[in-house]
Amino acid sequence: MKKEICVLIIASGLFGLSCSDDLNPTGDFKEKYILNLVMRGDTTLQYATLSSNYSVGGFDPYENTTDPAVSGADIRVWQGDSVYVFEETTVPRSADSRYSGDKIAYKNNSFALERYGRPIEVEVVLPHGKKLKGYSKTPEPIEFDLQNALSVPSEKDFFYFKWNTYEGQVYFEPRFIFNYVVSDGMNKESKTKIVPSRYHEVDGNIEPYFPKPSNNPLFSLSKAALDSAMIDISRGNSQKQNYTIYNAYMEVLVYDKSLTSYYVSTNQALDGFSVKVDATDYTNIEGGLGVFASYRKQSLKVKLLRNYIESFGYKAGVPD
Amino acid sequence: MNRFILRLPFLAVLIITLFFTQNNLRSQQFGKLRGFVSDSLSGEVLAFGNAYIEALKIGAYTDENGAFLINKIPAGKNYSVIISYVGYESKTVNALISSNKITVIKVALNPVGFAMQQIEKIGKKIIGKNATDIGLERIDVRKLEILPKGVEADVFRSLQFLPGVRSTGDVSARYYVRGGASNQNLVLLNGITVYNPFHALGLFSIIDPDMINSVEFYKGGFTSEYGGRLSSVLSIVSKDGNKNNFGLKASSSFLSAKALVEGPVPNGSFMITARKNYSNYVLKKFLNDKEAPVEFYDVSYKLNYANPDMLKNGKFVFFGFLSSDMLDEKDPLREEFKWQNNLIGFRWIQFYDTPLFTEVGISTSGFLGEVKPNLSNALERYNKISDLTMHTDATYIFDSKDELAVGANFKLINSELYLENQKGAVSDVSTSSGNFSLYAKYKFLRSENFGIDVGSRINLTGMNKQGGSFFPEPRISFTYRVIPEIALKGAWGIYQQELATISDENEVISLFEPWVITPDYLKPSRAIHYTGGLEFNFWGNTKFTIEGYYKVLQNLPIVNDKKVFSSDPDLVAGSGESYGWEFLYNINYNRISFTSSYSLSWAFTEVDDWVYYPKYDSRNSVNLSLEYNLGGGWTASAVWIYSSGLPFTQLIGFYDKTYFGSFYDEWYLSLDERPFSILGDKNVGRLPDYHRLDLGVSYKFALFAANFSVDASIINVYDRNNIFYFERDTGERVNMLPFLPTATIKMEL
Repeated sequence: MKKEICVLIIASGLFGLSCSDDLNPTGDFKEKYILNLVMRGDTTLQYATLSSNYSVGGFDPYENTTDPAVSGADIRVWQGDSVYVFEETTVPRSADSRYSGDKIAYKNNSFALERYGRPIEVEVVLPHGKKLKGYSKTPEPIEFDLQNALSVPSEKDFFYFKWNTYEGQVYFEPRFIFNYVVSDGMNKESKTKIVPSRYHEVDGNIEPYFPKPSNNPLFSLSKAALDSAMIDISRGNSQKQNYTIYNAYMEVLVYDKSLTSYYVSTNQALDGFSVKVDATDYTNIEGGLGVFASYRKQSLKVKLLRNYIESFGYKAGVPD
Repeated sequence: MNRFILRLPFLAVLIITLFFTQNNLRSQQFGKLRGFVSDSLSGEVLAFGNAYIEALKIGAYTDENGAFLINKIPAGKNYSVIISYVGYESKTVNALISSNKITVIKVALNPVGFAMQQIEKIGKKIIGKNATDIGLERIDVRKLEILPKGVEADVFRSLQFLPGVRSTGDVSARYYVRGGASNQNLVLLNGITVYNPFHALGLFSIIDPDMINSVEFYKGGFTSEYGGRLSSVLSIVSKDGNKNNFGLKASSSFLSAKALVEGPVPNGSFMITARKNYSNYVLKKFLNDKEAPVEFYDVSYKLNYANPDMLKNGKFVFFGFLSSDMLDEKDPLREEFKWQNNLIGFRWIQFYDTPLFTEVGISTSGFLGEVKPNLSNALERYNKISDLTMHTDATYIFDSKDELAVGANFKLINSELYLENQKGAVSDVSTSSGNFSLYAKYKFLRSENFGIDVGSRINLTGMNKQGGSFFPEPRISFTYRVIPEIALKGAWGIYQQELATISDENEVISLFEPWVITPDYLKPSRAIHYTGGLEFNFWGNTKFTIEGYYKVLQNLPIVNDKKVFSSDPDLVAGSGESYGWEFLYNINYNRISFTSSYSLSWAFTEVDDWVYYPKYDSRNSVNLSLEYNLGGGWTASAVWIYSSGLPFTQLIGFYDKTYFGSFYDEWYLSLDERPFSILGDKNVGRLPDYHRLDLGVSYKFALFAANFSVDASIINVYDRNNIFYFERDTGERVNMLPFLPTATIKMEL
């Protein structure tokens, strides 16, 4: 019996060498162009980037060090009867970029989002004549639910800011800020503090949590987080009376549907364990890749209570 | 057509009346023999054993209740009946057959040592001559114990050794049958539907092999008692529990520990099994060394009660099953996962003084799957499905050996689904619906060399509006033994499925497949199976079969990858087609059992006028398995699996994709650009071929009052680098299981 077991083990040893087949996962290269243009609703300065795809000999795309940015294109955006022409410029690159020099971009400094829910359109004519087109619709407005916290803090541990939207399932990027001025008698400096939604423990450390863009029309603010933010602004400075706290604002960036889809496809994952071989790629650019989209900013003024501000030793810049 | 269908019940009644009349006329000089076959030690019923009257050269198989019925036995004589079952001593019992009566015998077989397990069932050639069993595989539970176990013995992984059954790799217990998707496979545990039969991210099935009494698996052409799925049926019946003595089994592998407690209760028996994982060492091997703190357990219980004073030849069965998986990294920045199955069922099985057998049952089955994102980037997903099923079945066996089976099934289903796809579109669907279906089938078995099973399932109400009511699913299966050594077999049938899963075929590891009732904007999916084959039995201990199949799939619900708005449909209609040939050769000689199979197959899916190979399409596959009884309690086994490469989508270039952070920042001044792959046409490329050799050795011994079994296996003996997938953004190759030794120890009291 032992002899027979030995035979089996020896037989298996015959296969002892590891083996595998080579795999070439690449097919024929096809030229494509990528346009990224997000029309910002909080400024008139708009930037677009335009690039081409590339191939490398192996599997590592970082082997490509030739800047794929495209120069000499004509980019125009239509909003209603108005047309906005973009001019070529450059913007600085991040320090760790594998490409050298500034990045070619296109800008326009006169575009402002008009009314809600209006169609916008982009057309790009590439240097060799190929056209890219994109369509989107500016975001619908949101309405803050005024039954909730218009003045904080109250006796509650959490304050909730809700809003209603006419367009379901778009993404919102909310944040809560307050403005304050630091004065040392000679100079005055206006500052803005972004208040985290709450603090939580990560690997034994207490970290602030700022909500990521999501389709949740709600922002919850913990009183503890607001307290911490109030303390934070004067940390290391005993002259609390030099600080004047003004109003706070609940700000929400409302993404349009195209920007929502693009954002989700690039920033959200099914989860950390599902493995998907054909990763989702969203584009609304006809004839190419990338995104043409817009967002709008809406704000709600929130009053910080005088006695609350003064409890930190600060001056209240808000009326009673 | 409809008028014909409306007349069907009347025709059925007429046929039944005729045959009952015939039965009564003929039964004057004949008697019947009914038997119940069980294990002498445990009292466990022995399904699919043989009962054979040599003097008359007639016999019958035992059913899943261990019962058989032999009709048309000349009365007034004493007959020797040989009862045989693989792994048990055959027993001959005498039965005096009385005219116009059913003589009942109860036979308990003694299990034999492992060395004798290859005893052939006596009378097998005669009893099974005209069995209409094309596409049907009965998995020998003892074989599950012999084959290399890998990490855990798993009936789902054993299915993958059968020709026509495919997997997409070592990392998943999901299986694909004859070109059908995994959600087209019906999994029944004691007759109750299991919606998500997987543990640990789909790596293992939730069915603990220790609880299994019998397994039947239809690869296609299944007959009309089964409904609701397009491709296959896996029916698992659990053990009743030891009727004679209390017993305890405990075992441990590198992954889990489990225990089984069983014993008698007044007029019955009970069985409770429990399994819990305790180590993730092996899971890491499956997941490319990624930590996955999965915790899972499953519990099953079964209580049988058969009091002859209360109900002669009747049995009540109460069964429950619960499985739960959790994946929680205890980190608010990481998502949490939860999966649960919960099954409860009650059945009344009744044998009558006539050749009639009935079963009435009520059961519920529920599945819950949930991904809670917490503060992570994960997308929220929630799926809950629950059904309530009531069924009744009746089978009557005529003197002519023909059988009539009728049944009714009423199912109420509620499904809830919430998910957000990777383009931000949300699906929030909650639906309830019901299905009432009837079936009737007639098995002509009166001819020794020819058997045919003709029947139909009729859906009187549909869960889906477009399915309408009164949809018939006619089915035929036949066997014609041309000469004693060769049988020609065939099957044809129409199948309907009104439940769909929103599962993305591009996910090579999929955490769960959310079930929904097929939305009303789609028609229910339907399939037509055509199957034909030959079975050769030239020598007593060999079997060679050839089967060919052609399957057409219509209205397949396929995930809409163009869904951008929440109002867009989740699913779009596709179609499919598959065909192929399967060859199986099995020989049992002395202490050796060798099985080889080869399949040549094609599968296609069509969506939006685009035809592609589904991810499980493999042209050629070969399975070789060898079991060798070394004696002295030792057994050895080897399994070699080969399949030609699976399809994948090729890279055709890269581009620098912009990842927007916060738009409160000046995004254009700090562009986050990362390479992103551009893909070519779907599934045009082929991965390299897959092959793997597994070896196993098992040793059984007794120590003090306990029996022990030690199993050691080596997975992927020659450390073949079988590719699982490649990372599309880096080209990194991710392989399946490497050389991996594992072991299991089992103790039985």
